[in-house]
Amino acid sequence: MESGTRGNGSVSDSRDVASRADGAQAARRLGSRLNPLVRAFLVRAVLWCVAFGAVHLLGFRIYTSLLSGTSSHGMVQQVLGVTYIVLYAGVVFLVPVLVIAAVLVQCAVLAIDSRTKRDHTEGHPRKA
Amino acid sequence: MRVSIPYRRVLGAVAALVVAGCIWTPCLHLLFKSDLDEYRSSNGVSTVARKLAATHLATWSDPDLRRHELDKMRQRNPEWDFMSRTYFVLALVNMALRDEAYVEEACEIADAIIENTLEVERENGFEHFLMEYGHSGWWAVEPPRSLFVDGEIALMLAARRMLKEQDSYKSLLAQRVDAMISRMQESPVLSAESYPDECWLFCNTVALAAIRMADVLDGSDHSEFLESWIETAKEKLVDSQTGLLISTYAVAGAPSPSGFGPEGSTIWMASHMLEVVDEGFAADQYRRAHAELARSFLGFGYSREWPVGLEGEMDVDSGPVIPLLGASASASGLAIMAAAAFDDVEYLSSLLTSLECAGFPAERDGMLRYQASNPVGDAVLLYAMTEGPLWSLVREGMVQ
Repeated sequence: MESGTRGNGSVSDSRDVASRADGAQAARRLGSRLNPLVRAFLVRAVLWCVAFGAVHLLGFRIYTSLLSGTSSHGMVQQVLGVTYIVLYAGVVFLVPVLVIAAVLVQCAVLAIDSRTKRDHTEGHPRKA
Repeated sequence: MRVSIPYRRVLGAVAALVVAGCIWTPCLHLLFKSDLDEYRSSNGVSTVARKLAATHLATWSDPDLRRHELDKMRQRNPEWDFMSRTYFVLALVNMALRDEAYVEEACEIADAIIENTLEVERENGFEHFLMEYGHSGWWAVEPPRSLFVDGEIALMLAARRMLKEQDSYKSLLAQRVDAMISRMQESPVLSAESYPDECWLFCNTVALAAIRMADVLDGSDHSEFLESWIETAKEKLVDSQTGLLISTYAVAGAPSPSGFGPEGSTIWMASHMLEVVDEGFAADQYRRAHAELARSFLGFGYSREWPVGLEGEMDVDSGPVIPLLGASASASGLAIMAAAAFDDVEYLSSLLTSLECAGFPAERDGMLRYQASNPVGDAVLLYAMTEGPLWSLVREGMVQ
């Protein structure tokens, strides 16, 4: 029973490893297909989200009470509060803008590529 | 002219970001827009109100926590300590009228607040709840008394009695009402001082509402006085440009520099209090205040502190006023209350969207706080989310 479980586990582990490797490869392929500008936008958006997620999980949100004018926080907590507010503002405004901009640029690149290909095809018609 | 490739890339990036910004900015408010029922329930107490109330109930049930919270507010402004009590008592009464399960707890906590307030007043004088300049100076009507303190204590007593009769509060309310009316009658504009030779519209309308509630509770009749106040105010306390009541004036009726015109941090509350004094006039004041002060920017609602062209100076009531927009956090908080009271659903929804975006709500153990607010701000919000039944009860009593 136990060995069977272990056996099944090792099969599923190897499948997991394989699927993770496939996933990473697919991501790399997708990354290499993306326009450098699109990649730059998306990387910044992800980094901003990661930074915000970190300060949120660390509980910095409570330091935003500095905005109330009645908080008894010290200098360090006030800096943490300002950091949270700046990252929050970025997540709700900057990140969506970066993602939309990435989509727009990628669409523009694809449109230009397909037009170039079409022009190329029309310039050199295939033999029937 | 040929444009170099790196320059074209930068130009492309900037253009993409600008277009993306133009797409996202008008949609931003949708991230924060919530269902109004979460804040105000047509029957019962809404989810958000329950969570906000839990925070206040925890504070008032724990003497150490209460002292800590009140001390923090007192350091900035002793008025906030006092006002947070009033708004919380009003909210508790409305919650209990909406949901019977709250009656026992509401009476218990309201009594604790009222008794603590009366004890503090007895021991330290009414000045305890005033800012520094209220401790000395020349009071136009002797002996010194503040309508700010008398009016809100009377309102708390009356609200508690509207929920469930408390015999020991009968004489306390009657004494406050007599004291308030006799001082108000000494002024040609029927208004009493909150600070030395400073009558505040906010406090005078609170006093009027408390007088009306006392009439409903005890069968007294001050309707003639209340009607005279409205007539006098229409004649002498209205700003000619906007038709709105001004905020601060001397006992003789001359506008004070600190509030010579209408102010958002006053008029929203005043119009709500006047609902039980003269409903038509209250609605007119709300409509005018809405036209002059209510604004919405990209789906985010806010209130200006002053009408355009009547800008005053920032003070502890207005809080910081955002340049160009003229937006004030305290005026916007009180606008939430007025919009709820006057069923202005569209404005209320846009104000709550702003609250969710910039208020930094934080929930822990079923208790909600708005981090950018303070206990008095949260008490105003709680009252805004629960108000309704108490005023209905007063109106029914007026008819009978």
